[in-house]
Amino acid sequence: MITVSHLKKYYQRPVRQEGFLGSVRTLFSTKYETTQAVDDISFHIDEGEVVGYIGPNGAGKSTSIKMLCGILVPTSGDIKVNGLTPHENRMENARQIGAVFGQKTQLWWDVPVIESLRLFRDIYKVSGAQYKHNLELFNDLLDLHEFQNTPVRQLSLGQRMRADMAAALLHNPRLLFLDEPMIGVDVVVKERLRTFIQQINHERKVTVLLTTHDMIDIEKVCSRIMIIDHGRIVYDGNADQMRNQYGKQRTLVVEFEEHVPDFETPHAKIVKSEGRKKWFAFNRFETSPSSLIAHISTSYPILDLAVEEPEIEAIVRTIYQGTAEVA
Amino acid sequence: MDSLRLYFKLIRIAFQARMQYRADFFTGIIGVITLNVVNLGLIGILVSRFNNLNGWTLWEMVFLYCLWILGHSIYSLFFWHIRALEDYLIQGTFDQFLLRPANPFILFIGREVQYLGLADATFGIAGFVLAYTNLGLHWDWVKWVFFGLAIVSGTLLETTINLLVACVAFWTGRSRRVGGLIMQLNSMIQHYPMDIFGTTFRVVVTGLIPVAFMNYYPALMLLDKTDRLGGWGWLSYMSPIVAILMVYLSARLWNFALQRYSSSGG
Repeated sequence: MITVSHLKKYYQRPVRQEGFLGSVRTLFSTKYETTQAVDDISFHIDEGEVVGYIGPNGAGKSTSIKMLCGILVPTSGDIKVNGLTPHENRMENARQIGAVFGQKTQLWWDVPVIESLRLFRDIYKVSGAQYKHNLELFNDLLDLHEFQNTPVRQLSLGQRMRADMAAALLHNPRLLFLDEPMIGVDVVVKERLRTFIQQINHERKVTVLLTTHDMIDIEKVCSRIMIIDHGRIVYDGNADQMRNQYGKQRTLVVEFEEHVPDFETPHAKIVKSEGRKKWFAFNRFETSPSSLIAHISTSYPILDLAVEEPEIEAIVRTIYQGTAEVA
Repeated sequence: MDSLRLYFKLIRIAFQARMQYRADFFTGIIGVITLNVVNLGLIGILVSRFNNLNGWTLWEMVFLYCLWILGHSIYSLFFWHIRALEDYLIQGTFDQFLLRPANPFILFIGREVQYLGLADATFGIAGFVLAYTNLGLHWDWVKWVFFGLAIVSGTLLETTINLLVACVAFWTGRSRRVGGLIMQLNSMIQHYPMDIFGTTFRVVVTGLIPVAFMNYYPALMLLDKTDRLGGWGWLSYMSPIVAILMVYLSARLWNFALQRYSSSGG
C-alpha cells in the first residue's frame, strides 16, 4: 500500500536576519543552513495495517507524512502510495488518502460542522448514497449528530477531533494519516477514537498511519510500530518484539513480612523501597526471576511477589535517548 | 467549470461565516461609508477652494474616485484576504489547500469574503450616478462596455498587485511591509488625478506598479480627456490589456511559489 525507499528530505533555509532591512537582505542572501528532516528512510506498509509512527518532536514524522500526502517534494528517494507518486499526482493521491492533523482543524471555523462536511462532499465528489451512508456510520460511532449543527469554534476539543475524523473519512479513503489526533483529548474521547480507528480498519480495510505520543494508543490500536529519530527509522516491528528486543530489564516487586534493610543481591539492584516493599531491577538475560526469588527468600521471608514488565513508554524513552543496546 | 462551481460553494460558506458576527457586519458597513464620505468631502473642500484642480472639476474628481472604488469594491469583497496569505504560511495552515483534490488557488481564494466591499460598492454606485448626472454625460454603448471593462480591470489590477506582493511571503515569511508601501501609492491614486504629480511618480504608477490603470487612464477615455496625455493617449485604452498581463504574471509567480513551497516546506 505504501512503499518508501531511501527517502530523504533536506531543508535549505536562508539564515534569517532581523528587522525590515534584514528581511530584504535575507531575500537576496546566499547563506543557507541545511536540516536533515528525513534522512534515508525505507519501509513498506501493507494494506490494512495500523502503524504507529512515533518519535520525539522534530524527529521527522510530520515531514514524512507531508511527503506521503504530496504536499512536500522529497529531496531524493521514492514514494509509492497505492501505486501513485504523491508529489507527482498530488490531486489523484488526495482522493485516496484522508488526513487529520490534531493541531489544526480542517473544518471551517465559523460555520456548523455539517456545512464543512457538505463542502468536502462536493470537493471529493462523493455520491449522495455514499454521503448518507457515511453520515449514518459517523452518527453511530462518533455521535456526530450531537454537534453537527454547532459552529466548529464552539465545539469542545473532543468533539472537534471527532468531526475532523469524520471529515477525513467522508470520501472513503484507502489510507488514513493521523498526525497526533489525540492531542489534548480526554480519556473518554481517546477511547472512542481508538475504537473508531479499529472499526474503520477492520470493516473498510483502511490502512492507518498514526502519529502519537501516547503509548496506550500504540498498544491498543497499532499492529506495528515505527520509531523515527533524527530523520532515521530506529525501530520497525511490533510491540512484543520491541519488548523482547529492548526491554531486557524486568522489575521484581517483593513484599516482605517485616521491614528489612537494603541488601546486596547478585544480578539485581534495589531501585525503590516503600514500607515493606522493595523493587529489584534485573536483566532477564543475566538471571531469572525464580533464581532471584530463591536467593532473596533464603534471607528474608516473603509475603507477596510480582514481576513487572517494562512499560513500552520506558522502552521508547531509552530508544529516543539512544542508550538502548540491542540485546 | 468545476473550479467555478467549487468557488461559489466556498464563497457561500464564507458569507455564512461572516454573518455569524452581525454587529461587526453593520458597524463595518457604516464605518466604510463614513470613511468614503469623509474622503470625498476633503476633495470637495480642496476643489471648491481652487474651483478646479489642474483642470479637473469637482464632479470629474468624484467620477475618478468612484471608478476606483467600484473596482476596489469587488476586490475587497472577494480578494481582500490575499494579504492574509502570510498568516496561512506562518501558521502552517496553508497545507490544507494542498491536501485536497482541487485547485489550491480556488481553495485559498474561496476561504473568505470581506463584506466591507458591499459598502464600497453601494457608495461607488451612488457617487457614479451623481457624477454622471452632474457632468451631463451621455455615453454610447462603447463607453458603457469600456466602463464595465475598466471596473473589472481595476479589480484584477488590485488583486494581482496584492497577490504578487503576498507571494513574496513564500520566500521571506512576511510581505505586509512591502504591501503597505504599495497601498500608499494606491491611495494617492484613488483621491487625486495623477497629472498633478511629477514625472517620476507617473512613471512608477504606470510602468512599475500600474495602479494608474485602475482609474486615471480609463477615466480620461470615459471623460473625453485623452488629449491631456498628448501622444500617450492610447494609454487610456490599455487597462484591460495591462490587467491581463498582470494576471499572467501573478499566475506564473503563484505557480512558481507553490513549487518552491512544496520543495522547501514553506
